[in-house]
Amino acid sequence: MKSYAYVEKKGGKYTLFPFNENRTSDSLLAFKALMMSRMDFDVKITEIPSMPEREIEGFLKYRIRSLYPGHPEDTVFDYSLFTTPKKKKFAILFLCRKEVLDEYKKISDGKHLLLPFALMKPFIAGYPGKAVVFSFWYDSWIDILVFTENDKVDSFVMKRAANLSLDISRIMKMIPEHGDEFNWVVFSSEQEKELIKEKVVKMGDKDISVEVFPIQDALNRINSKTDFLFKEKKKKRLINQKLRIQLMCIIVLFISALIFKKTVDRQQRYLIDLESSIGSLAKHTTEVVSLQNKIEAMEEELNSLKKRIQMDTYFILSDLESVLTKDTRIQSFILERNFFQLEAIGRNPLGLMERFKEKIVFTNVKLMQIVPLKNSDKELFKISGRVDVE
Amino acid sequence: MNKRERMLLNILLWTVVITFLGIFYLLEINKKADLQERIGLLEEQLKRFRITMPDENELIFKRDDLYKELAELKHRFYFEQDIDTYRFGIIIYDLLVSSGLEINRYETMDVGKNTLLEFSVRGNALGFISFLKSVSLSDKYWHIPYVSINSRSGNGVINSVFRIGYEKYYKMDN
Repeated sequence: MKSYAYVEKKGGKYTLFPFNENRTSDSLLAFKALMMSRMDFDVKITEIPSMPEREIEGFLKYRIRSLYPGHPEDTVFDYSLFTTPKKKKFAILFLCRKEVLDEYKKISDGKHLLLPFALMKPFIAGYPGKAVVFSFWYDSWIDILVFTENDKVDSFVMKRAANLSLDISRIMKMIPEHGDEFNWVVFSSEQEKELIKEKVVKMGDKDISVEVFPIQDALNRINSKTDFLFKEKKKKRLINQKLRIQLMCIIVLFISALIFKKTVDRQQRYLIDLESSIGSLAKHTTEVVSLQNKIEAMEEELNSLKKRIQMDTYFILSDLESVLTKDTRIQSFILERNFFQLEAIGRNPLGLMERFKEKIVFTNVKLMQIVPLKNSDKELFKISGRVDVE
Repeated sequence: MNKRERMLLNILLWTVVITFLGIFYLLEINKKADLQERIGLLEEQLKRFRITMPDENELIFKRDDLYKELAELKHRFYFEQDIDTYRFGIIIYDLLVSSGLEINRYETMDVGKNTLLEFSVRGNALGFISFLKSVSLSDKYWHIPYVSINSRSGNGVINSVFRIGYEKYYKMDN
């Protein structure tokens, strides 16, 4: 079971008490939330016109100026919203001086702070469209919240009198006329529960339906959705979670589509690069082909010029000299184009023929005639052949 | 907006999103397939280009070498305005005389397109060889399509008849 504490001001000093009297004072060290004294707060209820939720706080700040006389800089406030069955939206404002709140914050040491309204709020929905009075009974004060059938809402606080009957009669006086019947919901300690119910029924001059709940029942309903006061307000998200998930999905889908498009675009750029490469290569090829054609033309011209270079007579005679022996004497030599004819006197013309074969410049060499000379070891011979000069 | 309206709006939103994405993906997938096909073709074409493309630098070197060789070769040919048969005759005549050869006779001969000079000379064999060497080492191409040497006299004196001509440069298209 969670433990809660409440504060009472006794002798000008705040004192902490555990809600459950059976608990020891040690349980105060581990309390989860602190109920502040209603006597320290001024509660105002105002209807909220139709407006976006984020604008409500600004509207209330403005509204407080006309509702509360305190200096704005010394005043702090918090609020809780609720909607009646007739769809009217109300804000219940809790106002106090700043130093009072600072004192509570110091006492609570960062724990949640609340007022009785936070405990009554979960019960409001149980009485749709009915006149209902919620009263929260404490040792020294009673917090009263009134809903009329006409969707009028009001809140009071009063110090407790010497006896219960007096308290009840004072409350009855505060309650405006509500027609024939109304509900009275009482939160009190376990000890006073039955007594209060009995007295209310006895004193009631109208058709009153009384329900009494122990405070512990209300405390048990405290959870994370309870309207704790003066906490750091979480920034309300503009978009709810379901929509957020859907939007996230859509964003993910769009991002993947964009990534896919980027891949396609990259391929397109690559294609453009390829086309440009092909284009420049084609241009380059044209240049290379033109270069090749030029080279071919030059080679052709060069070959044609080389073909026109005719054999060099001086070199032919030099080659012939290297074939002939020193004692060979040329009688006559005729060279016409590639054909030559030689008449000479010398020794061993057959051996000479072997040397002609070794010279590739002379081809088709024939020994046409050999005439031995009288009184000599030499012979007159005639040779013909071709000269091939490359 | 009630729950039903919110649900309908939700369905509408998702229908729009899915339709949009569906059309988008359909178009993009088609585009991608088309691009891939074209890329494949172009890559193949590029590959073929690169294989068949000769090395341009090598061709440039070859062209430059050929140009140089051709220029050197052309230089050894006479251009039309540089020479005629008579000027050529004077050059050869002077060369024969300077080689110590006695000119018996000379005449011009038309052989095909070319005009040749035919000389009949007499003189020392070494002088004639010196003349032939000068012809061989000449800056321009001179050619001797016919030569007959007779040295039967046996005293180192030769009689020779030869025909000599020069080469003129004609452009290829000529």
